[in-house]
Amino acid sequence: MTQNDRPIKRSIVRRTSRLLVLLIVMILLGGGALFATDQVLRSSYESKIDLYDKKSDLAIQIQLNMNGAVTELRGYMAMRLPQFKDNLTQKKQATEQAIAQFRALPDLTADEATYLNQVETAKNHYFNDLVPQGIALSDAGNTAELTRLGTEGNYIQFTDSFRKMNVDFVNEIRKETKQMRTDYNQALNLLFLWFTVYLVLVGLVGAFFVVRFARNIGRPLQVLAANSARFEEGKLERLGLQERQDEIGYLAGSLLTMFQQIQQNERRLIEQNDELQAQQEELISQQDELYTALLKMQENERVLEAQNLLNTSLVNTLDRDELLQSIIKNVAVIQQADKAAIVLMEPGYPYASVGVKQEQMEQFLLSFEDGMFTRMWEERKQFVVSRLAKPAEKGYHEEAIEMHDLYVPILSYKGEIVALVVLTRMGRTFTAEALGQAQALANQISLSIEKLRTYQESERSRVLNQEIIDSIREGIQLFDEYGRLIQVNKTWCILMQGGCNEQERSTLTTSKLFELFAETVEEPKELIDFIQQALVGSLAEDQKLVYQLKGEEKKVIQVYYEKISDHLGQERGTVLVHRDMTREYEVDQMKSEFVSTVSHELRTPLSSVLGFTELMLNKELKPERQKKYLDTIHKEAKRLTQLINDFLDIQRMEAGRQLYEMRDVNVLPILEEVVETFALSSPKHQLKVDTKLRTAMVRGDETKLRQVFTNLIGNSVKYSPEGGEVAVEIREKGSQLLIDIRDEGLGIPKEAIGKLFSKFYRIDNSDRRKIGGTGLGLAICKEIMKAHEGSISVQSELGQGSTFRLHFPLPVSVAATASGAPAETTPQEQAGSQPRLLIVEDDNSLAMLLQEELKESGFQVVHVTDGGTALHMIREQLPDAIVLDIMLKDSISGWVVIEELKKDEHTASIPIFISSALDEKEKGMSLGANGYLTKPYQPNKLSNLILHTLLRKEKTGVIMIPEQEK
Amino acid sequence: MAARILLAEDEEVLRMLIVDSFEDEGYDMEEAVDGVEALEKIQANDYDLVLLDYMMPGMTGLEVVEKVRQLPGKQQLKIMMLTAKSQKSDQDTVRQAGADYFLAKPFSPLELITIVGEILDDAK
Repeated sequence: MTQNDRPIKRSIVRRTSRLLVLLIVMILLGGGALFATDQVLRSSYESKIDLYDKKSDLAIQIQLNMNGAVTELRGYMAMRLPQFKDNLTQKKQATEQAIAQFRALPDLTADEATYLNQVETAKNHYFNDLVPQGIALSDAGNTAELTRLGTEGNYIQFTDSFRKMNVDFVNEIRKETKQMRTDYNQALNLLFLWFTVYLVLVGLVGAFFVVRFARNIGRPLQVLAANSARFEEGKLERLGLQERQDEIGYLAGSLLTMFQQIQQNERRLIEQNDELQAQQEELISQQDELYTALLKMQENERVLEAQNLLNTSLVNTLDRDELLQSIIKNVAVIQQADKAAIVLMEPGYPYASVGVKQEQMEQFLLSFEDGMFTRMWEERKQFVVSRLAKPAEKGYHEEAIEMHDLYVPILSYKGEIVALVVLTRMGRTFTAEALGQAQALANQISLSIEKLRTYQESERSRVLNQEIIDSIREGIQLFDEYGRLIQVNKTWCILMQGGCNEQERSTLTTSKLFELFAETVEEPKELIDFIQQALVGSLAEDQKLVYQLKGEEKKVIQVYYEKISDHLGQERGTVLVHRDMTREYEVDQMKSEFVSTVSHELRTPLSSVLGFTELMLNKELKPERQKKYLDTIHKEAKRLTQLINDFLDIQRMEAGRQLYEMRDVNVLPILEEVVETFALSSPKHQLKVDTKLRTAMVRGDETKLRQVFTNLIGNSVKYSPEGGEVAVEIREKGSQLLIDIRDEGLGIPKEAIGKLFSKFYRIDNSDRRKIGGTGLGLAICKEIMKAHEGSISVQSELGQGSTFRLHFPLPVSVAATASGAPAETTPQEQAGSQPRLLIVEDDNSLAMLLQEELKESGFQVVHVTDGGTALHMIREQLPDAIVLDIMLKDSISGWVVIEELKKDEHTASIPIFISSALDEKEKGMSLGANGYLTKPYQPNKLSNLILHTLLRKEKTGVIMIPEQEK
Repeated sequence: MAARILLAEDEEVLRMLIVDSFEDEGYDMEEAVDGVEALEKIQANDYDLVLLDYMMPGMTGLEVVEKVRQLPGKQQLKIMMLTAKSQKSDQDTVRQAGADYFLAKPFSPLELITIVGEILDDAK
């Protein structure tokens, strides 16, 4: 620092300034000298030129005054005025004055002095000689002398010579002035030349100094830069130059100081660095410690998380397997067990495990009730078993590993073992802390298993309850005590037009329910009010409401409610029961309509009977009128009777209480009889019976069949008031006997056909009303036909007539049909002509049942129990038909029997009816069976089937039924 | 002049009974066999009284009454309904529809004549 403070003795700045000042002074001095010389020169020349100018002016003045004097003289001579003489004097004086001025001028040359003497002389001559001569001559009037003097030349001669002298003199002066100017200019030019040379000299001196100065500064700087670089590299100890007295010395000193400081700093930095490194090493070792702590903490966290998960699942999981799985997974983590398992002490021992194979678990479960567990069953405490690892457990380890198995029984609050947890640690023992923790875990697990059981129990009963209420045939809705809808059953959903699916069912709320009602119920407000009142309890206890649903079915539903209370009598909710009353309602409706109709139907004839009787009793009437009234009363009474009979008939029939005496009836004679009766009473109509059949056998009650025919033929006659043909046509079609009753009457409107067979239905038309009737005839016909396993149908065109068709099943007795005789004879009497049947059936009781039924239907029946015997018998006896069971006692099954029979041309055409518990109809039919009945079946089905088949065979000529009776 | 009465009844025998009875008493009787005919006749003529059967094909007595009451100038026409329906509720229905009188079947023709006589006397 000391060097920086030393004063700079030879400062470069100062030296440079000094040099610069010197140069400026020299330039100024040169300039000053130049200016002064120029001034002196100029004033010298100018005074000379002024002198010349004055001489020239004076010469010119002299000339002018002399010229004036001449003129004045001439003027006097011409005019002789004294004024001219004065003027002449003035001119003489002016001339003298100018000459005197001239003479006073300094430095007159010899020429000038000569000139002045000549002018003096000339002037004196003129004024002294010539002027007094001329004035005298003029005053004398001697003009001629004057003229001669003028022309001879004294005067003129003088004027000319004077003028010449003056001009010459002036010209001389001018020449000299000009010369003077030229000299002055030359002197100036020379002066500037000298000055320029001076400046060049000064510049040269300046340049010399600049060069010297630059050399003096640049070199040492270069040296300093190079030395600095070397110094930095540490190659130079000294910088040099610092002893110089100028800025460079100073700079070098500063640099040296700086370099020394840098070196110092560097040393200090290195020291600090070492210290830092030491600190860092310490930090790293601390970090290692922290990391270890972190790992430990993470482990703890994992355990805590497992604990948490376990707690969550213990509290929230209600699925058994999920719960077990979650328990064992988390307990294994918490206890840091390598293997773990939990087994529930329930039937089937449900379990979950970690790190244990299924086979091992199964083996474990087998060993449960004995061995090492005996102690546990007794003590109900956890215990540890230490053992050496089995080779399979050791994996790639060679040395012995100790295994520690911890058995923890899970006890219920009653002290029973409900589950067992087994935890295994490899090479690490269970610490007292771990054992304590295991016990705590066991208590938690026990609670959650308890909860699971309770849940399962309640869930079971919930499902059961739901199933029970779903199975009830009435719609049930359960509301809680706050009027919230809790549950509806399936039936209710189906009731509301299948209105809600499983999901809707569970999300239905009271308000949604009311919305649903608003859409689906005919008068929703009433129902909603009812429910709301029921919910708040403002309804009488046995209050009921009937409402109707919209839609095609128009269901009628009755709703009533029950309050539910718990054992303390606290209200717990409300049950609404919706009962589908549609059928009852319809039946009710029909009943009241029926009663009203019957009442009307009865009152009309009664009115007539009573009215006419009254008239007859109270009035005097003419005999014709009495007769007419009596006829009417009789007719109406008959109508009333008929009505009552029909009514009772239909009631009986509908109630199924009508008794029919079923026999095989030939309907031909009955029809003919009825037609004959009507033919007699209705002459307008052409009645006829048309058939190709000789007999028309029907199984039925003759009286009732007659009623049907009478009703139908009667209708045909009645409803063709204009007469026409009424034809009864009888024919067989397939397995049916068809009877058509055709008329050409009024016909039936299309819309009426559907209702035609309903009770009391009468086509609403006054034309027909006149015809009268009970409105029950066709309904009765329908009922009777139903009882005969037949049916009635109608085809009609309005105004063209109607055809009623009766469908009867063909009678089943082949023999009877074949013989054409009524089937009143006993089976024994006809034994010879009866078809022969063979029943192959190993079940004797079934065989008995079939035998009885078939015998009653008019067959001869033989029964065998095995395939072998059956084949033998069939070949020997060739029965008309065979009833064959498939599964038989011996090795020959029904299938074999069929195949054998179909191979043999003698037996191939015998119809076979399979009667089996196997459902293999296709196989049976493909093998050639004529019928296949799957057990169990109605025995009469078999007899019908056989009869129909044989009947068809007869008609196709395959089997000839012997006609011995004829 | 004899009172003019229209009888609408689909049962022929009942028509005979009533017409005979009333004609014996000197009434001017006209007949209609169903509701449609009855309505036409009521529209075309002025009757002192109409006897209407309730149960008629085509148009019931009830419908006839309702229609008649809508006809101009027929509001005051006396109508008696004859019906087999004797329930109180049926009577109400009939009255609401606009019938003035109601007689249940079976009825006594002599009683009917008496009642009609009274009605017509009252009207005079």
